[in-house]
Amino acid sequence: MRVSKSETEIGLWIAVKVTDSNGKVISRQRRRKSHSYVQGWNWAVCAQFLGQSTPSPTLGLVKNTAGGNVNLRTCGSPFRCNAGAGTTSTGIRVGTDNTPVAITDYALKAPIAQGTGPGQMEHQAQTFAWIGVAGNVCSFQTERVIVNNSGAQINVREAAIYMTVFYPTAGTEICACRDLISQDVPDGGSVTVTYTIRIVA
Amino acid sequence: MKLYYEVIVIDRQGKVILRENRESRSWVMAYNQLVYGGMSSSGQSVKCTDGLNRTQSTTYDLLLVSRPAGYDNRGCVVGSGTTPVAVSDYKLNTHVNHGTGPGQLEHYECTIIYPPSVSGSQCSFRVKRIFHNASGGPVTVREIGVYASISNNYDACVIRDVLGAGAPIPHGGAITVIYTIRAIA
Repeated sequence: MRVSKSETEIGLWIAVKVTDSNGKVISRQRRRKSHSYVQGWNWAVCAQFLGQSTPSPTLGLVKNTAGGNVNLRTCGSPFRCNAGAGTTSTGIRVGTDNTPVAITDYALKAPIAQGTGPGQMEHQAQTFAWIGVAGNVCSFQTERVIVNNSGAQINVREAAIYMTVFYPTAGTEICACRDLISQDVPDGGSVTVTYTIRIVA
Repeated sequence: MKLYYEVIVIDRQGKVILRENRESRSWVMAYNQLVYGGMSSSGQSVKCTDGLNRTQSTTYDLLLVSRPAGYDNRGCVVGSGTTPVAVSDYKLNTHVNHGTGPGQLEHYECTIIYPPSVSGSQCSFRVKRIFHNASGGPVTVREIGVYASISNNYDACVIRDVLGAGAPIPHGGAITVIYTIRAIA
């Protein structure tokens, strides 16, 4: 596969799939360019470029996913988002708000909590797949299945990746990217969000 | 995420004799491997700049680019090769070493200009390094890139570009390389 450089950029792509309670695919948003990384991603990359384990300079204040200001520094678990089942502090998350994406977004606007209560969804473990090099493209994917056992339909309108970063005393989480999606997930069904990170030489 | 570079060449009097500012050709494979390893916490086997494969760190010393003066194994680097960029590139084609001998350039500190700044829908930061020519003759730079750490002791090429035109640096002159890493919403 050879991709024309003029048609691409160093990119992030998103695909979404919804299944019903029988596992049948009822809606699919084919892979398209992600709206964007948000500032948290660039802060995380900058922190890694800048620092080393000891000493590690701090970059300055940036908001974590809880909205608190953290003085970011080089991370001992950089970019980590291999969330296990039920974990919502990192990994792919979804929400119900459709406010347009801004570079300063630091979290989903209305994240869906883990659980089986009204408006909640069950988060399965985040998975990763190294795709490798094909022609002038090098890519990998990360994916998460999020199941609706709430008893009613949930209208998913946004998706994001939360990942671990570090500030001088502890780890915290920041939002790497955010996208608007529009998928209605029936009770018993699931939504699968797949992000592809791709470079084109 | 967009990537741009700017190259500025000055003569010994400090006069700008060449400036090139354009979108970078590419990050290369090791960058994606290092990010993948960090995200998944699964260390990848990465081809280092010496051509050997090693397992990356998924904790500290991942993607470190800043480097003091005098070191040419990490940070912004320059070379004289013209081989087109391939996504599997693991080093510059022909690396210009640090020094004052023939064909060498003195590597100043590689600095990260931070914190990332937001302007409109963009968030950017920069990587900068100056290379001074005290070799006694001209040195022509035709390729640039960035080497970053994969672990405490080893480095991989994460960015490589071939310049639109060779940048001849006269004795006493210098070349400044600036990469801008930009997220755009």
